[in-house]
Amino acid sequence: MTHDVPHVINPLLEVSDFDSDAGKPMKLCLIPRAGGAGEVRFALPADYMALAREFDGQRDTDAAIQSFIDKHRPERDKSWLTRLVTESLVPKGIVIRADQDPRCATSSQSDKAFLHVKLPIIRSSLVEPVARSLSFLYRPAAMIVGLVGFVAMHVVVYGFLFRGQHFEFGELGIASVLLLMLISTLATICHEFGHATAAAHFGCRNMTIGWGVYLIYTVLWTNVSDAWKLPRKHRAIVDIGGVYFESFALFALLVGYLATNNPIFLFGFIFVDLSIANTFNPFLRMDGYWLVSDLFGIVNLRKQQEIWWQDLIERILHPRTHTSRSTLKPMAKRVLAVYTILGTLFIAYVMKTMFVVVVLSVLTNLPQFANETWSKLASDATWSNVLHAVAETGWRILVILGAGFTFWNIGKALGRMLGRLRRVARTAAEGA
Amino acid sequence: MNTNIESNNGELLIDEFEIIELEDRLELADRCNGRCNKTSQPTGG
Repeated sequence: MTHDVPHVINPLLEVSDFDSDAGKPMKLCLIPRAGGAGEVRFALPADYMALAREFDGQRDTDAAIQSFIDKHRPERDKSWLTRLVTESLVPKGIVIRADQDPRCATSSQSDKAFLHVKLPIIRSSLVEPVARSLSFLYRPAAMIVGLVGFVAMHVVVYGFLFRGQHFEFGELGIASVLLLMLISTLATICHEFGHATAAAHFGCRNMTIGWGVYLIYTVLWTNVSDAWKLPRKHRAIVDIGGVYFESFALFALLVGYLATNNPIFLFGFIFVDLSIANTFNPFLRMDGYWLVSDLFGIVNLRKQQEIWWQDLIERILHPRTHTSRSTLKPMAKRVLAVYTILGTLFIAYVMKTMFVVVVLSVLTNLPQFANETWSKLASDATWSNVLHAVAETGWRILVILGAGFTFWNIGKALGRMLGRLRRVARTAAEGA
Repeated sequence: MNTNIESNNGELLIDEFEIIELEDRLELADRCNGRCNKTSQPTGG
């Protein structure tokens, strides 16, 4: 940007208050993407908006910044403010050239976000009418009834129906397994509509439901990015909305069992419950992750973890001169510290488990498995044996590929992070 | 010249000026896709 080109605050900018635990008031800015496909959202300190508003399309950058300084007497000097404008506000499309298309925001995120595969399957034009028609379920009275029902169902199932029962999952036939998969998928669709309905209840738009691959899981997802504009407690309700709606599937399974006495419905109940427990894992990017992020107001939790590590390294290298990079309040910093330490232990545990299963079990037993399978097929090549061999070989290949893929991704992420931490350490050493 | 092109780089979500690009909120739910079939567990072979 040259200083004599007049700039203007982006006329398409939508600005609202942003609820987070940052140490200073923040604003949420929404800018249409270049090409017109969606928006990019930025959270920025509220006083930057006063600076952006000084760009009226008439003054040059120097004059606009000087006007801001004269009016607001900011702590930062003019050169820092000039860098803020030229290196951040303009590249992000918050301030643009007067003759520029305001639909200009570009995102630093991948189109697939954090998924390996991301396929929309239900468009927002279909999701939103359904979600709006169900939004009465988010009235406080309905939610209280839902919560009481959720607890009561679990008391009935685990306190009475399961007592004295003996279930062997290994004895399930193929038809039962397929039925359980169908039940699981329907419950997951309920889950996703729960998020979408909560978001619609609070006035959000553009919720899309889709299918994807996250790490080694196949998942359904709902895009509720518009929920960033909500207060944190409403965002938290959007986060637990999935489990709230999934409990309706649990209720249907309970009714199915009571009506037919078929234990497959109780199996289904357990599976859906296991899936609910899994979704609250805060270290995977599932509901638990967003819940921690929203309840404690820590935005972009993954990135904040890295900032926490950078701060730690600087504090170790330069305990006296260290200044924190994090802008979070002390309470959020403590939560982030606990989350980061536990999250690191969780990743270490997952990697160790995968190493034990894949390397120590599957890979080392592979020659023996191949020999035994080959001998069996050579002596008795029935359809049943062939199918069994295909299934046994298939899951081993999937486990090895999945683990290899995960190790590769975690290794890449760690490598990138270590590179950045090394740069931080070097910069700190040079500044000492 | 388009001045609004950043590198497509996930490292820039939080910049040095404390401006945060908010990550896409995808609410995920894992689905049972065959892992609920215990018969597909390792059998020691």
